[in-house]
This record gives sequence, structure tokens and C-alpha cells, in this order.
Amino acid sequence: MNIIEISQHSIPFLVKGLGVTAYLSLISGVLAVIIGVIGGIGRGSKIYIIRIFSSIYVTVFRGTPFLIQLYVVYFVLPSFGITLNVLQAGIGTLAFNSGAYISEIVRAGIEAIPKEQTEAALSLGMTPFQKMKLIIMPQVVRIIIPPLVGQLILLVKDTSVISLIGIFDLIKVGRELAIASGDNPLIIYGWVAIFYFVICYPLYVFSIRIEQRLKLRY
Amino acid sequence: MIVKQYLPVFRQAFFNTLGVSAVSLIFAFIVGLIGGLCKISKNKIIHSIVSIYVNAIRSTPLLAQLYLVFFGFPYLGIKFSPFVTGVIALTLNSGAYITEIVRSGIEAVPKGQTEASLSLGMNYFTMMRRIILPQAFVIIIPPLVGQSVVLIKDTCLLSIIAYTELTRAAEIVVANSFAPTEGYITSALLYLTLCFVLMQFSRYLEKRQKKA
Repeated sequence: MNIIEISQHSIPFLVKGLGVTAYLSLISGVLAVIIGVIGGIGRGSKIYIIRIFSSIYVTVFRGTPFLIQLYVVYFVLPSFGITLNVLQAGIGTLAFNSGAYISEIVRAGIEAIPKEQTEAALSLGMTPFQKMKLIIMPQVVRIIIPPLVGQLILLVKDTSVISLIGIFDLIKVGRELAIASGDNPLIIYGWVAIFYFVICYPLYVFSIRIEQRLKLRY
Repeated sequence: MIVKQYLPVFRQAFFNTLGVSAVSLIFAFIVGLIGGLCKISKNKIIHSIVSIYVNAIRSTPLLAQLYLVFFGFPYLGIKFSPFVTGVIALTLNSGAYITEIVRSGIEAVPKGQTEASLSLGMNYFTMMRRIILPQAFVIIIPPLVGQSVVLIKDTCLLSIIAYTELTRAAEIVVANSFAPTEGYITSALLYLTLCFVLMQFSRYLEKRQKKA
């Protein structure tokens, strides 16, 4: 088969894989942001146990490769009575992995807000929760959006690793196609790379645009 | 017990991980240095070639790059050992990120330095070598250490091309002993030790820089 035939044959399958990749990215991305915000606030908490706990969480997840985390969740947790299917293990691990990085981003964002803002909010009689919700977080969001988008790009790319425990996402479909057809694998992997590029590159452009716009504002 | 029995496997794998990381990091730094210098070049063609390289690498997963090198290259008649394949993929991957680190480091050196050295009659290479790069280097060390942590963690993907690093060692131990807990947790702890030391080092450097 020539390049065009191979492409015509494989692209419909790859598009389906792309859908799975998008689904994985979307769900774990939303969960990761939620975990990251909780973790980031936890790292600055006044309560010692919460602070230590979130600090250990961030260190452990940032200090080990995602693949090892995935293997631990998928192969080790069943020995302790927690059995997850591929989808749960993949999305959960990715969410906690990215959540650790996002925690650091959120923590840095909160630390970048001047102390006076906290003091002013508290002296106005706000509760700590109101202070976070009404004063601190709206400012933090603006600071953290560029690094957050950068982290979400890494998350999209990391979904490819989940294929190693058996999810049929974009890269796994490409791998199976390459094995099954026995034809030039360069073409199929080339298409896989292009598909990832199509998702990630616009996100990069988006993050750079936002960064520039925020810079102009200040 | 199982960990003790397989200790030589883990020890070998630990040094393999260190070795492949170190070699890739050195090459990636060379690629990044050249890339960074090209990225700030006024020559449009050189600039766009490096931009395409950086964007292409940053927008595709390492796993896809690894598959391309490992399964694609033999089709062109080029066959590498797992170690060389790993070094090529990791070098190309980290090189793109280090290019951006180097670029931002050079751009962080005040413009006055360039103007001063040019007005002293230095040529481009003397200026870069004696004035700009030494200052840029101090700035880029913390992110560079951060990137080396990422690189060490990325070596885990080499397990799929059968290079015996820590993840692969864990897989071997699990396959032989049916003890996933011991196998995977030991590897995870070894990675954690390695990365934790580097992460603390990077934080220390950053703090020292802020003081200065």
C-alpha cells in the first residue's frame, strides 16, 4: 500500500482513538484542577496535619514517574482489596498526578498575592472561606492560568501512557494498526504525532496569548 | 525478602537509569544550547527551523516519539540498541525543553550587557562565551535541574523498548515472583529518592539565587 492508502485506511480508526484521548484528558483534567485547588490551599493551611499531608502527597506524586504510579494503582492496589478497572485506574492516577503539579501552581499563585489582601479581608470581618472565595482566588486565577494551561498540555500528552495498561486511545490504536498492517509504521506513527499536535499546539498558542494579555493589563 | 533476593536486579537497574539519564542529559544540554542560540538568532530561517522543532516535540507525547524512533527507524534500515534508541528519543525530547530554558535565560540577561560588549569591540562568539552565557548559565541552573528530574522520570518509558531500567526491573521481578507490591513499590521508592534529592537541590539553588 502506498502512503495515501495507508492513511485512508488508518485515519478513521485514529479518529476514534482521538475521541478516547479527548475523553480521558477532559475528565482527568477537570478532576486534576479540583484536586490541585484543594491541594494548593492545603499546602498553605494553618493546620499542621493538613499541611504535612498535602506536602507528602505533592512530593510523592512529583517524585515518581507517572507510569510507576499507574502500575502501583493498577497492579498493587488489588492486593489491598482495591480493584479498579483500566479506565478508573487511568483517569484516577492521571488526575492525582497532575493534581500534584497543579497544587504547586496554586500554592505559588496564592503566595504571590500580597499579604495585605488577606489582612484587609479578615479585618473586614470575612470568614477564612469568604476571604478565599471573594478576595484571594479571583486574583490567583489570573496569575495561574498560563502555567495551568501548560500543565493541562502535559496531561493530554500523559494520557498516552495510560495505553500501556490497555486503554485504546490514540497511541494504542496507532500501535495496533502498525502491528496489524505490517506496513510502514512511520506513516501511522506520523499520523499519531500529528493528531496529538493538533490538540496540544493550539493550547500552547492559547497559553502564550493569555500570558501576553495578562502582562499588558498590569 | 523478595526485595533482598532481587537486590542485584534493582541495583543494576538503578545504575542503568542513572546512566541513560546522564548521557541523555549531556546530549540534551548540547542540543538545547545550540537550539537556544539559534532561537534568538536574527536569521529567520534558523529561527523558524528551531521553532518548528521545539513546537513539534512539545506538542507530541514522548511515547509517540519513542515509538517513531524504535519502530519507525528500523523500517528505514537503521537499527539501534534499546540504550541508543532511548538516548536519541530522550535527547530530542529534553533538548526541545532545554532550548526554551536556554532562550529565556539568555533573554533574561540585560540588554546593556550585549551593547557594552559590542561597543568594546567583541565579536559575537567572544561576547556569548565571556559575557552572556556565563550570566545566563547562573539563571538557568534551577530550571535545568528541574528538567533533569523530568528526564529521570521519563526514562521509565524506556521499559517498553526493553531497556532494563527501574520500571523494567520491577516488571521482571513481578513476572518472576508474582509480588507486585514489592516490585513496583521498591522501584517507586528508588525513583522517589533520586528525584527528591534533585528537587531539594533545585529548591536550594533557587533560594540562594533569590538572596543574591
